Amino acid sequence: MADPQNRRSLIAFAFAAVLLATVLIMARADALARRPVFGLATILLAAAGTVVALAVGLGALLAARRRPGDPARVTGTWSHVLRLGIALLVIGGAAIVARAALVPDSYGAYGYFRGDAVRDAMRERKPAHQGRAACAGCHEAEGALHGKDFHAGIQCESCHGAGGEHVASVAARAEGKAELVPVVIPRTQEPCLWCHRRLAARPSSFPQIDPEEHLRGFAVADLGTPCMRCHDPHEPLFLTRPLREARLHPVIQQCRDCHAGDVDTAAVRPEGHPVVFECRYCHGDIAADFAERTHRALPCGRCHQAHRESETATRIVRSHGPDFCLLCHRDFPLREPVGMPTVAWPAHPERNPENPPPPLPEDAPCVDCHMDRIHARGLATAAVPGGAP
Amino acid sequence: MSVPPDDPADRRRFLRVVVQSAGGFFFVGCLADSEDAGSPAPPGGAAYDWDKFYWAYAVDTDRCIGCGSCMRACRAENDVPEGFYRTWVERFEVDAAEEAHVDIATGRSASFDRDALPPTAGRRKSFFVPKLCNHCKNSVCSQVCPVGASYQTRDGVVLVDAQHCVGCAYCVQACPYATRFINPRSHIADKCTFCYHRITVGLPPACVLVCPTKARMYGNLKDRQDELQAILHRRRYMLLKPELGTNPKCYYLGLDLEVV
Amino acid sequence: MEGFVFPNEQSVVWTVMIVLYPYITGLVAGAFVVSSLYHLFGREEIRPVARFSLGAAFVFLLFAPLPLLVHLGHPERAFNIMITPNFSSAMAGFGYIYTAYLLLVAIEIWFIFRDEMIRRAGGGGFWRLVARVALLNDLRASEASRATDHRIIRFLAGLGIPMACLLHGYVGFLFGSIKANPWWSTPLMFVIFIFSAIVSGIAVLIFHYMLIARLNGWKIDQACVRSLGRFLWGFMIIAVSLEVLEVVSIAYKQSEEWEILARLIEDRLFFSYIVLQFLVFSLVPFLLLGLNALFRFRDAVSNTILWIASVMLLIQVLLMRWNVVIGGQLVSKSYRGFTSYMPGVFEREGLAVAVVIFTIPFGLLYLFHRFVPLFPPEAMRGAKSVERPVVPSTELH
Repeated sequence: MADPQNRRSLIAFAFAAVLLATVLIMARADALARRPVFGLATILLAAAGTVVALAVGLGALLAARRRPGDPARVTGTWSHVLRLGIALLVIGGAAIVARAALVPDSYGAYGYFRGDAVRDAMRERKPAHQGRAACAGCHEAEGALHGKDFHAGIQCESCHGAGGEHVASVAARAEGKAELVPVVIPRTQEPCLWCHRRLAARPSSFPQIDPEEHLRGFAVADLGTPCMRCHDPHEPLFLTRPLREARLHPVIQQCRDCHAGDVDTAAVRPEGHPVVFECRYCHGDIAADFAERTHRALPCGRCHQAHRESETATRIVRSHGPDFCLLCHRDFPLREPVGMPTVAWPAHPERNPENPPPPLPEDAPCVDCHMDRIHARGLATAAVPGGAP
Repeated sequence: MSVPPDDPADRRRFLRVVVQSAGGFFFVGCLADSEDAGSPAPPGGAAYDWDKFYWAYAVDTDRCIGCGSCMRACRAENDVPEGFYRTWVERFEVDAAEEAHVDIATGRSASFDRDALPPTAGRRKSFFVPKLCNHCKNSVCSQVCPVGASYQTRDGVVLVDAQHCVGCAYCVQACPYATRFINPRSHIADKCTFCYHRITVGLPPACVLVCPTKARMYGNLKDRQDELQAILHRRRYMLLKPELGTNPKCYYLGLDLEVV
Repeated sequence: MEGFVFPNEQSVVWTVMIVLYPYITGLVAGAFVVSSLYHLFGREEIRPVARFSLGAAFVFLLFAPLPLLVHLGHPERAFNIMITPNFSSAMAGFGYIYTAYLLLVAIEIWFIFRDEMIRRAGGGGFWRLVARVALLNDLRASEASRATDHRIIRFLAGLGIPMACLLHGYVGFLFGSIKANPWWSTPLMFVIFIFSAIVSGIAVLIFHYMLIARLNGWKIDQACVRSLGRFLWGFMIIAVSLEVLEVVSIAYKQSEEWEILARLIEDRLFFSYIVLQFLVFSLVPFLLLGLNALFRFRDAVSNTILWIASVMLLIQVLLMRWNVVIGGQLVSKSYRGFTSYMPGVFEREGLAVAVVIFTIPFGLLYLFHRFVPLFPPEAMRGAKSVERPVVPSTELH
């Protein structure tokens, strides 16, 4: 160890070791580091140690460079090990400092992750879906209509798409900055069938149809006819227009069966045009009977949404318990009340408290007792349409 | 090394670098308390105190009609790339031989167009099961993330740090529910965020918002008045793969044995 | 695709690159063990390949992270694994274990090749500069310093074996600790990986040494290769037994996951796992090596048998990596179906890149040899080759 070069290497090694030792001691004393004096002292000590270690190491390297390969000096036993040690310490120290400098600022603020990432996640994007209240803020009529029917729980955006851009563009347009971004207006069957296509896996209590069967049942030639043609998606249980006008009755020709292109089905029938049939042409007896009863003001289609297709009509009116009648007669009717009697089902007003009827099951169909308010059952239907004007 | 800078923020950062250098390999413990402030301000600021929330999710499989509204909403809300899913709805159809056939509705419409089994298969039962990230209390994905880019927030949501993730896909392998994927656009791990940008401003997650039958529910387990807690106390529920010890916070009501 | 797989499982996320990575680290660990047989355990007959094996371990180690970098979604963030290692993750250890092991091998090599490098530094040209930088400009060596070096080398060789096991066992642990994957999730994975690593390491050395000797017209050291052959036989028996044991124990327990794993083995992996990995590339080398160990064939015959067995075992270990890494990902976490995977040739994580990554270390090894001879002079006797180093080497530790 008498070799001067060895001594110099040793000093450098010692300094580097001191540096590393400081570093390691600090690891245990990092709580103390919050005191600025201690921190500053550490910085100075570390800086001094590094500078000295580098200087001595460099000096040793330069000294060796001046007298390369001198056989007389080939005596070292540990000198090369020391040099390697210094090199490793310098690399290691640099790596540790580099690592510390590269750790993101907020790392560990809330746990072992980048603290700012939480804020980033909160601000990652603006909410795209606005919710129905936001839509109803402007589209009051649709909102009011929508809120009353079975679709009351459906979000506008389920059919019309996320409204974030639309809402933002309204404000932007007001300032003249941008065009209005329209929402999606569905014009096919598809959005309705997302929920209402008949699938075995769907709960059986949920209303569902086979679109082809449904349309064929009404003798609609175009199987792609959008549901909106008859059903208003904002209040789907009530048809958008009388069945007769909807021209879905099996014996009525579709306009398009004869006319090319679109036809205004609401237009007044010209003179000499083939007859548009009314229910009473075939169901004269029923229609006559019905005209005597309390419900006479209603069009047939209000209850008989379907004709030949048994599914819709019977399921709603008969099999489906009291729900269909309660659409109007519940004391919170879905439609605007127009003076009809209402009940708070399953509570039922007693006509004769002395002789009460047996308690009703909750799913008892109203028509089992109240059919007399509608029309008699089992009346004849003419095989051939008659009574045309 | 240079003299410590004057600006307090810079000085703090400088000090942190020094201390963490000093920490070397033992830095794990000193990360949290190297800042001079005692406890850092919550990330949501005054508007959202995350210590008041612990988010959980529930799925009522009896109510799901398989309409796919949740999948479409999630895709729109979170810009999920085509071909990958942060949430999806599985359909189970059990045939006469008690064999379960499972499929999902794919594509942009996310709609089931027909029954999976022909009428001749003698279908015994069939139902839908929505799936999403379970936001496990003991989440494997954040355990295995080598860089701490997958983490759990204090309000119980498992998230991915988009700026720190290296895209090694170890978390994708580790998630027992296959809810993670490597986003083909950003090349990082991607997953359900519980709509963190929505729930932290008081809005429901997009999938919960649009669910027409309320088959999807969410709530705050720290709020005793919360509706979800009432449901979990009233109803019987099951977890997915509970034997793996991940402790999911996604509770399934009416879950069938066939569902994994 | 078959049966029901979860929608995010349509493609396999760990590709052929992740097959290659444990394969390469396996070669490293195995080659290092061979060099330690000489440097630590005093197996004198291994001397002809002792330095070569360490050199091979070093160059393979340098390239082990490359397939990972190719695979990463954000390779520019690769250092995050050392900047913020999350030690609850098995993978977080990679940065530090790998670096420590690389340093250890580099330092051991530095000591072993010091004499050769000093000789180089006395020469001229490009290599002189390289040697001087590598030596940190300290060109002194003496009997005393050599004795010191020898002690350090022994120490490093001893330290290196647990480190090699750690590096490679960690890879096995990485897979074995994934509870979500029934094909991976077994504590045996860790042990299987270590033993198959040693098998592949010995095999690549026999294969490569014999190839170089044949190409250069050197005389193959029979004592050395016969000894390596016996080690190879022993380690392959352990490795294959463990591999069989693993699958047999799952099958015997008949637990829930066996239903899907049985389908995996019988159907999706039948050819690569049953036929290739076991029936062809395990059974045949086992018989060949057994014959070679038990009977005394002529040198030429024995060498041919050994070489063929080594090549087959190299393939066996690659197949094993494939069947583990890819096989495990074919099983859907729904336990109801399988996804499929076949790497493309010219894609980012394709076969062409894999071949290039696997070939570079061999080229680098050649450069290494041009710098300082990887073989002791007596191993290079009878050379007609151009590969003979300019500076003749003498002493070997």
